[in-house]
Formats: sequence, structure tokens, C-alpha cells
Amino acid sequence: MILVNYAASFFLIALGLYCMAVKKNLIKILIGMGLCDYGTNLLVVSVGFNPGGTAPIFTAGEIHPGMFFVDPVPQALTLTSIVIGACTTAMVLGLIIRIKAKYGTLDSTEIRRLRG
Amino acid sequence: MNDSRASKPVLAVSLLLILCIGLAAAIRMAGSAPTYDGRSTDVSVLQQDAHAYDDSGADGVAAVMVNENNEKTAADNVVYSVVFNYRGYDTLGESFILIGAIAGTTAILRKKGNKASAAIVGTRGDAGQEPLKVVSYRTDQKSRTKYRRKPVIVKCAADFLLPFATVYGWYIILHGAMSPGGGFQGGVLAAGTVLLVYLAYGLTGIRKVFHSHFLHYSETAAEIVYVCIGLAGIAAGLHFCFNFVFPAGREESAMLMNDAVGYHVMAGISCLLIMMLEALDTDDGSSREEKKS
Repeated sequence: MILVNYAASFFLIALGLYCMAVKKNLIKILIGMGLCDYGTNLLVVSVGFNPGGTAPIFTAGEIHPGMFFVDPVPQALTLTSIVIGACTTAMVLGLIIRIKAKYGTLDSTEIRRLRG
Repeated sequence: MNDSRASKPVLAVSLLLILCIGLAAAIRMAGSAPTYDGRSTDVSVLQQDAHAYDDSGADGVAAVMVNENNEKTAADNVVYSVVFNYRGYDTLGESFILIGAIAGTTAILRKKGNKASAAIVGTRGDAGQEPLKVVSYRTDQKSRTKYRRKPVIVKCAADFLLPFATVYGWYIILHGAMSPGGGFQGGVLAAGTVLLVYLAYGLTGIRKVFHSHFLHYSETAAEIVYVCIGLAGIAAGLHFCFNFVFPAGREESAMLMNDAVGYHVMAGISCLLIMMLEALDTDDGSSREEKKS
């Protein structure tokens, strides 16, 4: 079953790269960046998964003999990744706002063109 | 045009190649053993008496962290203890990324030589009179009509949902030591209330309700609090981010660090959202004027 997670994460990364490479609208390029980000997060979380494992929390009264934990380290690393992704998205959105104000368009081919 | 035509097959082939390599890697990874085999650790025995548990069988970083978690950090949630105890420095750096993003967005969205730029984040909201002047300097009538035009249903729904959204965000922050969640996730959820207020009351509502100047400063203050709690471990002769357990009960100093990070993220993301909404409004006004003329 973990194969579905891995395949979906790589599919998301490829889809994000497709969006960034093909689309001309800056917002769509940003969505592609976000898709890449989420794909990577899904991949890192899936790496730590262990079938049948529970969340790595020592809750009082809910731990029974025979239970075992999944890997806590990738989950903690994903936290870092999520925050960085959110900050990048916010900064790119700020840049897009400025570009729209300056050029009046969101089309990347229009922005690239020389103006006189 | 010629260039783009030639590059399309290349692009398709390279994307297919990436996808195929990814799928091959996925199949290979799915067949391999998990990074941490939790079955070798008896969790229920470990919870009852962490000091008596035999750590010699620990294989790898995750096993060591799980086996020594109760003994060394006194936190229930292992992910939380990894973030705030084992990797305390890293969490500090992560918060600085947020500060950097806010500084970058402030620099990008700042307007040069325009008095209305003060409305973005700098001096407005400082005194009671200044922001009003700035608001009236800009398109006063427009914002007023916008304010009135908001539909009643959205306003009522936002009024109904605002307390729940705030309480849910702060529940995630404050309960981070015992359940999934913590400062980072809860902070973002609590900052979502800015968007709720914007949907219901527009930019005028945000200007009235939120004190973005105060948010901007208190965010940095929360970061300083985090560093001070981390340094308390060094002052006591132990290591950075040492988890002190208070004598009263189950409270630890890492919980305070978690709360500081939660406030930091909430204030930072709110600041970012307010800055962006302010910039969007000015742009909308100018572009509409351009279109009319």
C-alpha cells in the first residue's frame, strides 16, 4: 500500500514541474511550486511509515503491549519543510503582486518582452 | 515561435523521464525495509519505566530517540521532543526563515516616494490618528462603499466561525505536547482568522481589528523568548534547549518554547497576510482607474 504513497508523491512532483515549465500564468507557476512542495512532503512522511505502527506519542493509558511506533524523524523534518514552503509561497505572492502592479499582466511571456 | 516548437518534445520527453524514474524509485522504495523498525522496541514497557529499559538494542537515530525520549526529555510526543529538544537549534533557524520571509515581503511590497506606502505596515496603527489620515488620503469613498457592499450571509458566517477558528488554532498550539500538532501548525490556523475577517469586512475591517505594527514587534519578541528559554539550559550548566520539568506537575519548559513558536508563527503569518491584502487593495484601485481612463 505504501507504493501508492510513493507513486503519488512522484506524480505530484512531476505534475508540479510540468506546471512550472509549461504554464505562462505566474499564479499557475506558483501552484506548480506548491505541488512540488507537497509531493516532497508526502515522500518524506511516507519514508518513515511502517505498516501497523501508531503515532509516536506516549499517551497515558493508550499504549498497549504489542504496539509500535512509526519513525518520528521524517515527521519532524516535514514540519521544517512545510514552514519553508509556506514562507516561499508568501514571498512569491508578494513578488507577483508587485509584477502585476508594474506590468499590468500575469503572463510571463508579456513580462519578458522589451518595453519602450 | 520556432524555439518553443522545438522545445516541446524535449520538455515532454524529460517530464516523462522524470516520471518514469520516480515510479521506478517508488517501486524500489516500497520493496525495501522501513527506515525504523519499531517492533524491536516494547513501547508499553518503555512507558512504564523508562530508566530501567534496556537501550542497548537501539539501532539508528530514530530508535535511540524513541528509547531515550522519556528518560531524557520528559515529553510524551516524540515528534515534539525531536523538534524542541533534540533539534532546538534547527527550530530556531526555522523561525528565522519566517522572519526573513517577512523582511523580504516588506521590502518587495514597499512603495518608494509614495506617502500611502505608510499604510502597508510601517507607521500605520502606531497612533490613533495617523492611520485614519492615511486611509482618508487614499480612496476613502471606495473603501467605504466596499465595506457596505459586503453580503450579510458572509458576515454572519464569519462572525459565527471566528471564535471557533481562533480557539481551534490555539488548541492545536497549546496541546502540542500531547497530541499531533504544535506551534507551527496551530499558528498558521490561528492566522487564518485574518482571512475570515477580510472575507466578511474587507480591508476596512482588517485595519480596524488588527494592529499590524504590534504584531510585527511582538513576533520578534516571541523569538527572543524562545532563545531565552533555550539559553536557560546553558545557564544551568546543561545543554541548549534542555527540557526542565516544573515541580508542579507535567509542565515542561519545552511547552513554553512551543507556545512562543506558536505565537511567533501566528503573528508572522498574520503580518504577511495583512501586508499582501493592503498591497492588493492599492493595486486593484490603481488598475481600475487605469482601465477607466
